[in-house]
Parts: sequence; structure tokens; C-alpha cells
Amino acid sequence: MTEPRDPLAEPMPQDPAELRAWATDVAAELLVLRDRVVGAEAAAERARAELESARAGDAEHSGRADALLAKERQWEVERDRLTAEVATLQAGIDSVTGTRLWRIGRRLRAPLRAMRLWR
Amino acid sequence: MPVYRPRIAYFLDAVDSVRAQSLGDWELILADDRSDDASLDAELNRLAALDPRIRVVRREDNGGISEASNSALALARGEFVVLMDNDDLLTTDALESMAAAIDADPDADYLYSDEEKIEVGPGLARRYFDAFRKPDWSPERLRAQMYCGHLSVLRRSLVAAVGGFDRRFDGSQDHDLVLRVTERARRVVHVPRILYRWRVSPSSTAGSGAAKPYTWDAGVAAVDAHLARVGIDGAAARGRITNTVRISRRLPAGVRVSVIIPTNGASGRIRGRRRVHVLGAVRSLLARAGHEALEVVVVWDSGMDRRILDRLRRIAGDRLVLVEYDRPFNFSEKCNLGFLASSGDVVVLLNDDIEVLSDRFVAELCAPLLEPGVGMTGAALSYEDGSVQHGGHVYADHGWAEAYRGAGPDEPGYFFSLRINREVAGVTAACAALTRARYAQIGGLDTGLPGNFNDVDLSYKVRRTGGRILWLAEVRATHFESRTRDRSYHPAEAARLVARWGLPERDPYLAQPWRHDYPADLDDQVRRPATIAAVGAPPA
Repeated sequence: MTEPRDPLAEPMPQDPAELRAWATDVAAELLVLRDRVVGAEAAAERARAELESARAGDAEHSGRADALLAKERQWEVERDRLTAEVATLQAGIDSVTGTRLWRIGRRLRAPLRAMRLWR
Repeated sequence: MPVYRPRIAYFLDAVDSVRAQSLGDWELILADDRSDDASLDAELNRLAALDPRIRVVRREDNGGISEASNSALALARGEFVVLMDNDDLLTTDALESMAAAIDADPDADYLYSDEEKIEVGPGLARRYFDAFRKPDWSPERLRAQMYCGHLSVLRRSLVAAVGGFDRRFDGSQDHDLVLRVTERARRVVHVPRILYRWRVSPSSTAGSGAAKPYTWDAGVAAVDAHLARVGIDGAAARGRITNTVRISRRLPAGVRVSVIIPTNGASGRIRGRRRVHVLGAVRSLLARAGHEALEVVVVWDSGMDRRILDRLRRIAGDRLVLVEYDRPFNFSEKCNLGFLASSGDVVVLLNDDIEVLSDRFVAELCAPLLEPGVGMTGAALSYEDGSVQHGGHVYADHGWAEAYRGAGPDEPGYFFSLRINREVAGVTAACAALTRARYAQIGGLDTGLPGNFNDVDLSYKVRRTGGRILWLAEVRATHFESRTRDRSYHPAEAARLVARWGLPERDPYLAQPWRHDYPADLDDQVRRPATIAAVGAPPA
């Protein structure tokens, strides 16, 4: 899996058109992260259900239960990592919308806010 | 059991089916609605003397089925009540199966089972037929059709709280009662076993939906009253099939809708003439939207003919938002970029090779999204020849499929599934609506699925976040997708889907066995992974 780029670490353009493109990139990153969080949560939950089912079954399947437990933990780590990324990106977005974007004028702010991907 | 002038043999069969239950802890209350039938009276006396669990109430006047049922309810002492007609049959395990389901889910306030019909022919040979394998709890479907039917089991305290049966809806009194009970129920449980046999006779509704036309209008009235109670701004009317109900909803004028159309400017031959798909899509959409607060977001490929953009501007004027896309094809990314450029409270994903057919298309498609629990809606899409292109998705039996694809325009579907609104496992992203908040919450479409399964994944995500998905039978459009379109996909796409959601086994909204909802001769269209490497592994 490639690391998502961090648009907030990049210099923010000053030109309104470029700024809008930059903000769209940031919002797109946030969408991707949210998608992956939902996916990781679902996979972790599925692994948990499989694990419970295996535990309820025959004891001789304990090897399978161990594998499922490992898989569940793997997904939980992935989910937690992605959730942390979402929080970081969200905080960054809130920060720029609260400060830097405030200075760029009402006309540009309005469509950015219309994305409603940040609070 | 309300009793009114039944054929004695059938009535005794019905009582016998209760007495034959494997579970013994029941009481049977027979409410005679002033039948004035001496032979029936004698049988009622005999039955009451025969079994202390049988109790008889004789009404002084003939009040109709609701009043008779209420007379029986007034005597009931059980925690749950079971509704039964005076000539139908319970299977011997009916009450035991329901009791087990209640034990497994103590919050269950209403339970229903599958059912079938029974006909007694010459020589008293019994024929069982027309088995109705029902979907799990589907509130939108219940508005369109009293699909729960028999066997219905209701928590008695809740029946009392809603005031029992209402005689204004005689003929569809059970539909009305179940609507009122489920509006307040904590849990509704489907027991997927045939526990009830509905006797077919020339005068019964089971024999012909047209046999009792007053039941249809009573059903419409019951649904209308339900809409008012739950605050849905709409009206009920007779559906296209007898005893089905069609709902027309209104979308508040202030709700802004953004329709997102990804396009590469492709054209095709439609009704003998060459046409640029996206122009036809936008024209038909604007002509039939039925909603003014509308913007059209067209995500266009950099390489396409710019004259198409000029024509779009002329067609859509200031409703048009253009978003240029200059990357390799990725349907999910195009939709997400359209979303980011949009401003609507509701977003509609629409393929460019679609032509809107039904009036008030946008209003009807989007209005349900304002109701609690509705996560996404989809439309009834047909090929150019009118045959079914999209009748909802089916996720079952280790595969993902389009229900009814290729079925003829007159095919009503399994128990009218192609003629009524209903819950489905998923809908195609060729035409799907969801709120802006939901789209943002679940991260839109997965850009890791550029060509296939992005709609399946979206549907799973919507349901995971608590949203039901509705397929709307009367929101109709033509999808000019080729019937011979290559439906192959890259194994990595299926593997990605399976890693998240696993292989589908049982579709909760599918009447089982699921082949009922899928033409057998189109089995090759089921997208079923042959081999999935590293199923369920997190991304490396």
C-alpha cells in the first residue's frame, strides 16, 4: 500500500484557482481515508465474527482460531492507523479553514465550505 | 381466530392444526361473528368441551373481521398473539418455531414467517404451492405490499397500545395493524420457514387478488394513514398490480440536489439515430426532474470534444457545473471529484448513457433519503427494448449479481418484486442517490475499485452505517448499456471487495432460494470469483 500524500505538508497556493484545486485534493484525500476506515472496520468486525464462530466450534480448530485472532488484530491496527490519519487530516483542514483560508475572501470560502468535508 | 360462516370441514382442519402443535402452551380463542349457523354453534360447543385451551366468544352482532378479532383479543392472556384465519392451517412446528425465535431475540415485538398456499382437490388430495420465501424486515416493501402476511405474531401489549384492529380498514385490517405495530416495535423478526398454509378457495384473497376488490382500497387507505403517522410527505395510491400500493413522495423545494454525471463524451445509436449520450441524459433529466433546486455536475474527460461542453451549457445553463478530469479512467474518482465540486444536500450518481423516463424523477428518487434509516435509493433501469437492466443487486451464494437482468418488460418478478418498492442489498451506481452527509461519512466511492464493484462496495458501506437501500419501482429510466457488455473484471477488484466484506452468503432482502430473483439462463452473469488469493488479508 502506498502512503497517501500529505497535502497539508505542501505549501498552500495563493492563486484562487490553484487554491481551489489544492483544497479539492485535500478533501479527496479525506474521502479516501474515510473510505478506508469504513473498510478496515468492516474487515476487523468480520474477522472477529469468524473468530467467535471458530471458538464456538470444535477445539481441534484452535490453529484456525489463532490465525483468525491474528487477522482480527491486524485489521484493528489498520483501522486505528487510518482513524488516526483521518483525525490528523481533519484537524489540519480545520486549522487552515479557520486561519489561512479565512483570509482568502468570501467568494472562495463559500464553495470550499460547500464541500462540507470539514466542520 | 375470527369465525364467520366457514365451511365446517375447513374450520375443523384449522382448529386441528392448532391442536396438533408441538408446543403445548397455547390458548385458542374463537370469536364467532354472529354466524347464525346451528352446525357451527354445535362444533364450537364441542371444541370448547374437548380442549380446555379452546375458548369461545359469541358476538351479539355481526361486526366484521376487525370487530370479531378484537373480541378475541379482549380475552387473550398470552404474551404474544398469533393471527389465524378460520380455514387456514398452521404447520405443526409453527408455534414452537416462533417461541424459539422469541427466546433468541427477547426484544422482538413482531415476528412473521414464510407461507404457502394449499388447495384441496377432488378426492381430498392436498396440493401445496406458491411458497412465499420472504425477505427479512423490509419496511418500504410493507408499504407497497402486505408481504408479512401469515404467520404473524405480535406482542399483545403492543397490540393493545395501538388500539387493536381498526374496522375502517376491514379487508386489509391485518396490513393496517402490522403497520401500526411495526411503527413502534423495538425489533421485527423474520423466521425463514413456512409455518402457515393459506387455503385457496374461489372466494378467498389467496385464490385471486381480484376476488375482494375492497381489500385493495382498504390497503391503500391503511398505507396513507401510516404515511401521515410517521410524517412522510406523500400519498398512497393503487399500484400497477392488484393489492399493491404505490407511494408518491414530495421532496421539499429547499432541498438542493446535485446530479453527478461522469462522461467521456461517448455517443451511440439510439432509436436509429446517433446521439451523444450525456446530452440526452441531461436533457431528459431536466425535462422530468420534478424539482427546481437542481445542479448538474458533469465530470468530463480532458480529451473529449469541447463542443459537447458548449451544448451542455446551452441545455443546462447556470445549473451546470463542469469538472475536468485528466487522469486515467477511474469511475470512482470521477464521481468523488464531482461530489467535491457539488453543493447539493443530496447527490445523485447518474451514468451518461441514461435517459430518464418517469416524471418527477429527481423528486421521487431523493425524497426517501430524508426519512430515518434510508441510506441510498436506486431506480428501475431498463434496456432500450424495455427488458430489465437493473432490478436491484443480489449478494448471495458467494456471488454478486443483478436481480432480474434481462427479464421481459411484463415480468412482475417474484411476488411482484419488479412492481413494488423494496429494500435491496445494493443498487447500481449507474443511478443512485444518497445524502451529502452519508457520502462524506463513508468516503464516497472506493478509488481502489476504478471499474468494477465500486457500487457493490458503496452499498455495503451504506448498510454498514445503518442505511437501508431502496429500489424504487416507479422511478424509471432507460440505460443504453450494451446487453453484451463485457462483464469480466480483474481478480484484484474482487479480492479487494472480499477482503473488506467477505464472500456473500445470505442476502437479507432476497426471497430464498435466490434463483427466484434471477433468471436461470443468465447465470453466467453472476460475478463469482473463481479464486481469491489471500482472502481477508489487510493491505500490505
